[in-house]
Amino acid sequence: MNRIITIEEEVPNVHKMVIDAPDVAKKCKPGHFAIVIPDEQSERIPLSIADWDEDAGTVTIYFLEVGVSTMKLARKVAGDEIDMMAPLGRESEIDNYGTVVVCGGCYGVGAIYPIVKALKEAGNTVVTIIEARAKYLLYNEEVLARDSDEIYTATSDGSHGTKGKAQTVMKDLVDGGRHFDRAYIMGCTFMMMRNARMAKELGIPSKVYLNPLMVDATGMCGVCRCDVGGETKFACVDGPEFDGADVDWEQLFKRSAQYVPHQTLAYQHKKCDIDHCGGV
Amino acid sequence: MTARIDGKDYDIIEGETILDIARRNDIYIPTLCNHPDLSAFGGCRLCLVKVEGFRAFVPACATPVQDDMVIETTEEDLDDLRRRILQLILSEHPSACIICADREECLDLHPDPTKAGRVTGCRFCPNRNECDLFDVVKALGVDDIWVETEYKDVPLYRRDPFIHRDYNLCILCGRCVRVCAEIRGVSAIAFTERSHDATIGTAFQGPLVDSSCVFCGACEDVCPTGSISSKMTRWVSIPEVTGKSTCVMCPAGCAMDVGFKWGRMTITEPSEEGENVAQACLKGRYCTVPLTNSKDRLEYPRVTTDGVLRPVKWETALETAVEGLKGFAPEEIGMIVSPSLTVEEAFLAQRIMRGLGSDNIAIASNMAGPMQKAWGGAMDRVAGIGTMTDIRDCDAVLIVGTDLSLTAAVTQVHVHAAWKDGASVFNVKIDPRKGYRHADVIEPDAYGPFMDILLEEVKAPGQQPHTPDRDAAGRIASALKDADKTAILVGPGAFRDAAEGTQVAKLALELFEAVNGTVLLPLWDGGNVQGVLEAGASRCLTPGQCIEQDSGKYSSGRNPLGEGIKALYLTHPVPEIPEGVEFVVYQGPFGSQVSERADVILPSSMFSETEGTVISLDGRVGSITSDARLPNMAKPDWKVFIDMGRALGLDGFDFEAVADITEAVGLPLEPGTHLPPGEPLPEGDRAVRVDDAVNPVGPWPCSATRYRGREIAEDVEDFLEVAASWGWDE
Amino acid sequence: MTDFDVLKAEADKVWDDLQSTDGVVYLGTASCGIAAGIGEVKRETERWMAENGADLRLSEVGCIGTCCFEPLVSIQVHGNPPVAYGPVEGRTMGGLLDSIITHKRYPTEALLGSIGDAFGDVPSIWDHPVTATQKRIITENNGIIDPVELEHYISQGGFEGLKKALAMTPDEVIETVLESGLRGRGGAGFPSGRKWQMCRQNRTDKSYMVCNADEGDPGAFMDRSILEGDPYRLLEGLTTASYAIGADEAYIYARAEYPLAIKRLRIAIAKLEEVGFLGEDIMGSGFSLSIHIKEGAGAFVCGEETALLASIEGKRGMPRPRPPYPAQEGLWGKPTVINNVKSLASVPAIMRLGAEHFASIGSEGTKGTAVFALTGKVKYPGLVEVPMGTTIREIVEGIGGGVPDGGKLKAVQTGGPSGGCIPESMLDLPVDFESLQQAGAIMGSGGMVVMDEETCMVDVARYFISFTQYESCGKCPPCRIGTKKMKDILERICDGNGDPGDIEVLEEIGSTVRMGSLCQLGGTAPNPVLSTIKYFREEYEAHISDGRCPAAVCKPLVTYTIEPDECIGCTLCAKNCPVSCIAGAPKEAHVIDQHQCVKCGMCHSICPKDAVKKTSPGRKEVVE
Repeated sequence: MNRIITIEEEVPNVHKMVIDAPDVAKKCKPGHFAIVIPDEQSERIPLSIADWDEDAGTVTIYFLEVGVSTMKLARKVAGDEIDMMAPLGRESEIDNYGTVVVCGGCYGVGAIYPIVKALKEAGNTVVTIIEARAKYLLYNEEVLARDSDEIYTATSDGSHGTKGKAQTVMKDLVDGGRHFDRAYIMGCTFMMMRNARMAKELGIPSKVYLNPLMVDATGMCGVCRCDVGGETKFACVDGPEFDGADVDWEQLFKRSAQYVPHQTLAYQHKKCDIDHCGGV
Repeated sequence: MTARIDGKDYDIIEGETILDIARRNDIYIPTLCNHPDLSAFGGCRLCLVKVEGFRAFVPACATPVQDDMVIETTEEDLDDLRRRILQLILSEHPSACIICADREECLDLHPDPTKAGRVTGCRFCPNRNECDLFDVVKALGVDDIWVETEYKDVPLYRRDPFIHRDYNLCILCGRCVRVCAEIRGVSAIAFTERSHDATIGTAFQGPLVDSSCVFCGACEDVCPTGSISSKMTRWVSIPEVTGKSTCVMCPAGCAMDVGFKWGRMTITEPSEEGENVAQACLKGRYCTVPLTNSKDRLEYPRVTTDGVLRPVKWETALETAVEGLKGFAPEEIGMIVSPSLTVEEAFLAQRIMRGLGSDNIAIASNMAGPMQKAWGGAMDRVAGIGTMTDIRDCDAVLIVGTDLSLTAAVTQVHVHAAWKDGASVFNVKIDPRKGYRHADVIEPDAYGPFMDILLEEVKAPGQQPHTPDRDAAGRIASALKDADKTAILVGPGAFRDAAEGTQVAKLALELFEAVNGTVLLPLWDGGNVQGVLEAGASRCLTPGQCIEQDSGKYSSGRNPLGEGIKALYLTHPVPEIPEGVEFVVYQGPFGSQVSERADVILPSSMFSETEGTVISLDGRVGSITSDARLPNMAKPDWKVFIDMGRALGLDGFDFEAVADITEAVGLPLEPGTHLPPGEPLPEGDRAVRVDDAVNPVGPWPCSATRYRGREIAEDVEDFLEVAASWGWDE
Repeated sequence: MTDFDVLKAEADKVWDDLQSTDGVVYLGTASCGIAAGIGEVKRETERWMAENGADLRLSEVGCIGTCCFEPLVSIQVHGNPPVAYGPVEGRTMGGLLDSIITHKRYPTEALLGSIGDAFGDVPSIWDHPVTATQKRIITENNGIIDPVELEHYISQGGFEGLKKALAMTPDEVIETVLESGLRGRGGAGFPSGRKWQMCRQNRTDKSYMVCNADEGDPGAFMDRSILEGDPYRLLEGLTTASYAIGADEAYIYARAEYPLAIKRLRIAIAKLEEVGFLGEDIMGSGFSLSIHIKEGAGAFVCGEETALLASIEGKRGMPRPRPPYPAQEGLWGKPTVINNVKSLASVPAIMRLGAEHFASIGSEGTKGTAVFALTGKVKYPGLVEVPMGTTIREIVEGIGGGVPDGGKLKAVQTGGPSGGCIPESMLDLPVDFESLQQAGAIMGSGGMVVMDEETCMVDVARYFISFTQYESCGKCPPCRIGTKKMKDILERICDGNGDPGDIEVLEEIGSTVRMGSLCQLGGTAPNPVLSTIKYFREEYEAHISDGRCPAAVCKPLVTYTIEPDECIGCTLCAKNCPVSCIAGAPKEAHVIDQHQCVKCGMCHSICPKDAVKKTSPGRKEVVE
């Protein structure tokens, strides 16, 4: 079991959690993710690792409250214990490609930091683009700015930076004559799909970090299988990083909605005791 | 009288507002706080129009139209002002998605809203598919917000049963406050605080369950955004199949819109057309779906072999039942008919028993027996007089034996409408529960004696010495006599003791006649008691409620739970099986403490999974449709009865579809129409036409918190919390 | 039920006795007088009377209107008219009584003048510059009669108006008020006669008369002075109005923050009921009226008529759209007229002296007098009643004595938080509804705040929009959200964080709030902002573009520096600086550390040599 050091709601609905996990911190690499289990009855939640500190022995994750288990996770307070299994998944392919663009959306705004840092250390010129629905949903900007050569923001309602999404900024930059050797995209499936398609259109090879449903996340159950470049790949052991151009997004969306009926109906009966400890 | 709108003349009706005419002639005027059933609020300011002679723009929703008024609904500066007001609203609502170009594609790819967390955009919002705010944004073509956007960051209220409130989405249109006060007469919520901190809330922002809220969901219905959402249905998004049906959770028979997805029932909402004026209650709106999708459903036919119930094929189960029943003489066989069966199903049930030659049939209802005894002899049929809608124009309403909280709760909407027009409302009930807030509540020691005193006060007022009950009765009596239209509603609370129930029913009829009343309605303790009675599924009754008192064949009907009964065909769980019974057939959607001791179990349906007709407490015929898949091998009750009838070798069971049965019943069962009211017989012809032998069967456990014997709280824990807070703890 | 004439004779006798009594001290005991210390003066007078065995009669009267001279007393002795002195302190009262009563000598120090004709070397108070150009109709009795003595009021012509009205038919009364040209003094200026007429036409079984005494504007005290100084005048006006529109029930919606006014009203109502001038069969005319007092709960929005009605009905004070107007559907759905205190207080004079007399006063479009609460940077602040059409300059410089100690007048704000600011260049604007409207201000209920060069117009706009934002009821988005956005922007500007384009956004939101809001709280809330932008745009630009507050008011933009050659090194500032950020050896020039300075202004106020300069240099030349 791992103790939670701090947990706070960074911006509405995005929670930042720092967990005490010295052995995990030693072995973390960019692109790794963790399985977090709030308590015995909840699901095993796969979450990208957003930062680690070997000396302090801590690991940082960002997550959104979107379901029963993430609601339980969001209710935890500093000092509580949770189960964590990490680091999992393959290390991200980091090398000096010249100029790279890194796009982050919702939880990705926090979780792309290791990628940005690694790319910077590898000598790339790192251009970071972060997107959110509105100014009050942007976070982690200063941390990313430190390790990026340039940072751009995009908000859907135009309250900060460009009005639009990460792909809007990417297109503007390329139209403005910029050249990118590679794109790294992390966020919700819809954001990754749109950015991957834009990167493909602009002729930029792209890497995406798929977040399908997972159970054991060690390659056994096959729940996380995705169709990448015509082959069936396991996101947990073959990924989570894949080439953005090859991913079959429609299938990924369908598979993610697989258990919606069961969850919906289950949610109706049980007086979700979480609600009692839910908001006010 | 005419008015000119945008250059064209339209004729106007006295007292109409500008919005009324515009809507009548399909002239679009954006509105957010307006609602056809509610009073004008004039708060959102989107419906501003330009009227000649007025210095400023006036709200179309609240401005009465006058002769020769010249109105402009769209003009450059007017449209611009509306857009800017809408943008001010959007600046405090998580509205990034509303103006996002990818909204449609994003919502298609994420078919279901998320289950928890703060809503920071349409993607997460439970109201995303029916958002009035989005409709107005699209209509006015707003695609950006020039003012600073901010998240109000006010706390979420998610601890209440059934209803979630997230006031970060609230645009303060006040619809919820108005529907709660004007339509439901509950006034549980109001505007609190002021200026920018103004928010909707209960007294001292306490939880709903501590307020006067009855969880009827009317506020959630009228809320233009996702601010108020239902925990039960917020995750379901758009149903794949929708239909019109009728609720059988209680006898009010509300017309409901039902939705199905993944082969399951997912949503029930009151429909606009029904006489329940688009209103329902927590049982009909929130509990039907989880009850239908309960995990404790009976799914396999089972037969007891050497003391253990084992799943078998349908044929085996039916054979065992036939063999069992045939082993007894007709008078040794008894049947308990569930009041939740449809008219067609009850008709088949009584056809089986009469086929076997037995009249030992009783309805699982505390009211049915006493009512048969009291009204059966004094009226042509056991049926109420007048409809629930008639209550609205009554000047005095007397409610006896219920507080309308869980029994026919929607009646309170009509009672409140009457109260608003000046009616005086009296509620005579024993258990102090959450009553109608505007009623004069009287809590006598017992119903019977109080009704006696009341009748005396009506007939000969002020003769007797003063007692608290006497004074209260005096108040009621004078109000009932002064009023030219009175309504008397009799509820199940007065029928816990059968004898007292019979007396109360008799006195209620006499009182009705003494004050020349308009409405006399029995608030049955079961969804389709009226329908089962009309189907003749009770001793000495045949379809159409003809009394077969002296035809000999049926007069021998005995209490199916009395002595001499050796075999029982149960379609409703009984408190316990009498000793003498050797063979039990149990048919129903849910098991119970009794079903485990049955010899044959036949898994059947809930009203939400079958087809047919039901009849409400005021005789309205409601049709039932469903697209839900029954769990595993369960079959609708009417199919089980047909198979049973055929297995017993009885004729009159060759029906393929429900419509054929409906026809066979031979009653005017046209959905939406009303069966004729009960006709009191002339004084001379009145007699106790149902003899004492037919003493009522019971007492049955309280039906307000159960459906076909199943505790609703078993499947819906929220219901337990609500019912307990109102004192329905038993 | 006493007959009017009998009561009139009695009243005249009481008044004459009072006039002829030798040795009467009139104490100005309105709330302002009490606050200024009249209680102390009264105690000293009683002590002096005991010591000198003088048997003086003390009479507590209302406020004559000269706040600058509070506490104010007038002493009536030796057959002379009462002579007013102010401001008078407890310790000087003894000396004043000695010289006047014992030595029959009227000292000139703090002398205001005799309340009546001049005599000897005592001038008449009515020639004092403050009172000379005033025309007192509504405040006629203020400071002269004892507010709760019915006889005093009747002796000054009180209730003759009502007697005349009751002798006429209600329509004739309405006709008289129409002819007088009386327009609503609440701020909108709607002709009162027409309002009464509309209500009369819609009469059903019941109608109501309501007096709006909520007076929520900050700094406005006109209604309070009238209620505290002459409650009977209001009650007479209210009764006349009720008779005219056919209401047998009237409400006075007085704010709970005026306890003295409410107390005196209650005494007056009881007295009137006692003598049959209220209640059943008033003055034998067959007309009956009961008056209720409903105390406001401190919501400015309840000054708006429909919110006021909702509040009386026990509901939440939220306005509702009009039409239907209250005259058609008001209190509990019945036809209702709502008039301001000053409008109703004008009615007795109209009835008594006739419509022509009232119409002869004032300007072409606006008849009668206007009562202003003249405050701010002016020598003689106080209650001022002038004929409509008087120019603002006459009020501010004539009556008010202009800006004290050589200050330069910058602007005048009329109409409280709903009003606008009028620059110095437009001071010759006559005071009436139309001309103020054109200047982007409103007459409002009568607040008039004078501002000098040391006032920052952006800060004034921020103050007023914060007030209306806080007081908004929250019902309609333009006001609920619009005022909040405007306040946030203005606070950013005052903090030096204004962005270019903020002025245009303010104007756009301002127009949305003005045109979109349901009631006049929202409708007029942007006026202070829009009018200050219109006339003082350069101040906004100074704040935004170079972070400079020309009047050196906005704290974040203010810098305190010590002029080296003026500083004598007395170390007073260093000792008293709360964050001790002033360095310097004794007798040496001191320096303020700008990074630590919290701009409390202690050094600036304590420096004996005024060496500490309070300036707003702007972003470019921040002194290191």
